[in-house]
Amino acid sequence: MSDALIEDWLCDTGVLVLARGDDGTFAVAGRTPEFFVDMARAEGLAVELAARDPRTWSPFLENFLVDAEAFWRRGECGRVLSGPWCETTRAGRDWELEAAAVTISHARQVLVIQHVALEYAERVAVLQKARSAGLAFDRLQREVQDKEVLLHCVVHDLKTPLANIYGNLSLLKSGKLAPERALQLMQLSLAEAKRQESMIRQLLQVFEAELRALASFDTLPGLAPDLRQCVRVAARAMQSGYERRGVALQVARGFELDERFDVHGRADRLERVVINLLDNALRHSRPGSEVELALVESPTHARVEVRDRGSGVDPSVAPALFQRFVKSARSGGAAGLGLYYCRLTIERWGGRIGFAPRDGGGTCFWFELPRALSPGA
Amino acid sequence: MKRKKVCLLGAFAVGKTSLVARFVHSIFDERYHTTIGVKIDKKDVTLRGVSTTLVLWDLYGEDKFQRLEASYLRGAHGFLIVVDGTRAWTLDHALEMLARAKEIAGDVPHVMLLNKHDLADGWELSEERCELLATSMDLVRTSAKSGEGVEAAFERLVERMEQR
Ligand SMILES: Nc1nc2c(ncn2[C@@H]2O[C@H](COP(=O)(O)OP(=O)(O)OP(=O)(O)O)[C@@H](O)[C@H]2O)c(=O)[nH]1
Ligand SMILES: [Mg+2]
Repeated sequence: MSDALIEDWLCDTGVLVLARGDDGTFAVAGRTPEFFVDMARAEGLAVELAARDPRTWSPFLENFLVDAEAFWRRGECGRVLSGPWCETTRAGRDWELEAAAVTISHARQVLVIQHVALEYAERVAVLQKARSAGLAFDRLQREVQDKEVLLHCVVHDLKTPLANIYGNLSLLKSGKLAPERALQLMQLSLAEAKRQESMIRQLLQVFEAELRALASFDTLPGLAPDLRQCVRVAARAMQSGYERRGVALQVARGFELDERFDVHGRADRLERVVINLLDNALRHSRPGSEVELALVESPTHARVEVRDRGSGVDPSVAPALFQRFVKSARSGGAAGLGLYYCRLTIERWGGRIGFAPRDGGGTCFWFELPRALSPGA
Repeated sequence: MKRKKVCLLGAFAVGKTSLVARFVHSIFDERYHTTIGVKIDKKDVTLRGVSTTLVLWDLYGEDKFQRLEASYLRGAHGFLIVVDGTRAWTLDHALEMLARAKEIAGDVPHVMLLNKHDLADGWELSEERCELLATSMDLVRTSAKSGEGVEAAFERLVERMEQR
């Protein structure tokens, strides 16, 4: 077949055939396919000019022509493929292209450019499926790992009180203890059992909150809770615990007003959030110190602050404080789930939660919730 | 105006295309459209009075379906190595790719982007590892979603290329 025949045949398949001249420039051989006319127009170039030196409008071809020229210089027969690429013209339209450097005969070298939209879409579809599956696999694997670590933490945390109770009961069973000592051990065991119960409760709360996070939005205008009332209920629930530890709980005046302060959320869960924050403050407070519960109002939001005088948050765990558990510094474990519950719940209602160190020592934990508009307002 | 070729490298789905879209067009799409072959975008940047046209080569993420084509890296003035912070293995992969890229294009300036930083919950890279890494290369935490660190990362690379 003659060179011209081959070129004609190529042109019939809708590809652009650029014949290479001795000076290294190109000219369209045969018919100019429509896609190239459109592309040149979009680039603001005359077809002839765009064909003459493709390097001027395509950095990809500029790069490919280095390989192409080397191939042509070697004088071998055959072709070199560019691989697919996507050219974005100035007008912002994407063109999926593929090029080949071909030696038809030793005197005839052509650059063939093909618009591969359809083939491209098919290839993308196949690859897309494979890679999306890869991504899902990564996610699943991470979830499994997370669950394993969590399980490990939970088992560890639940085991400690049980070991203490077991030890105490064994001592009691021996029957050789003085009555005061026996009473003391029973009280210790009771405290450990309480600790374990509280951890289990927290775990259940978290699982419930995670499930809920998957379900639909759970706030309704008619159900908007009164923030003041919720905080009062939570403070009352924690009062005896604070007294036992000798820590004073100061509830700001703002919470005592009768007038309602409705926020987004649900009463029972909001109370639990405040209880978790108060419990967290208590655990980090020394006897004789004070925890303040403060309210900052704005026309659109309410901000509740729980300020303690504890030892402050260790910087190494700070970035992960509100996460499900802390992977590197495993101080949290199941015991650290309370704050995670708070974050899940508050963010779900469109609020924010955080903490900051206090002047003079200690930490201020806070959360903000949007005010609920009263029905009809 | 000067032109600089910048190649984005990294495993599949780390966010290379999203970072370019954020940087060049200020947009973000949650959906995943994998890249086949090469997609080239351009952006003019001006740093301390010097204007440069960045020619961004968004390369497909290498995996068992597509291997990195050495010729695409030819003449690169800089690399952006992208890691998905929620998938730790993409960091090992990125370091491997960087080593190979250096063999091909020489020791050109590069910046590593720890992307998807908005997903703090699922973050898999340990602080210790990042700190150690930061002693040997430029690290920027980015989010194509929120825009965090994106401009800064590109600017850092431009700066490093200018120093050459
Ligand atoms: N949350 C979040 N998602 C991101 C971020 N960057 C990218 N993604 C998402 O991650 C997925 C992959 O992003 P791409 O930009 O397509 O990744 P790529 O590296 O170009 O992928 P390949 O072309 O397949 O190599 C998409 O669903 C993006 O929406 C980010 O900073 N944060
Ligand atoms: Mg891509």
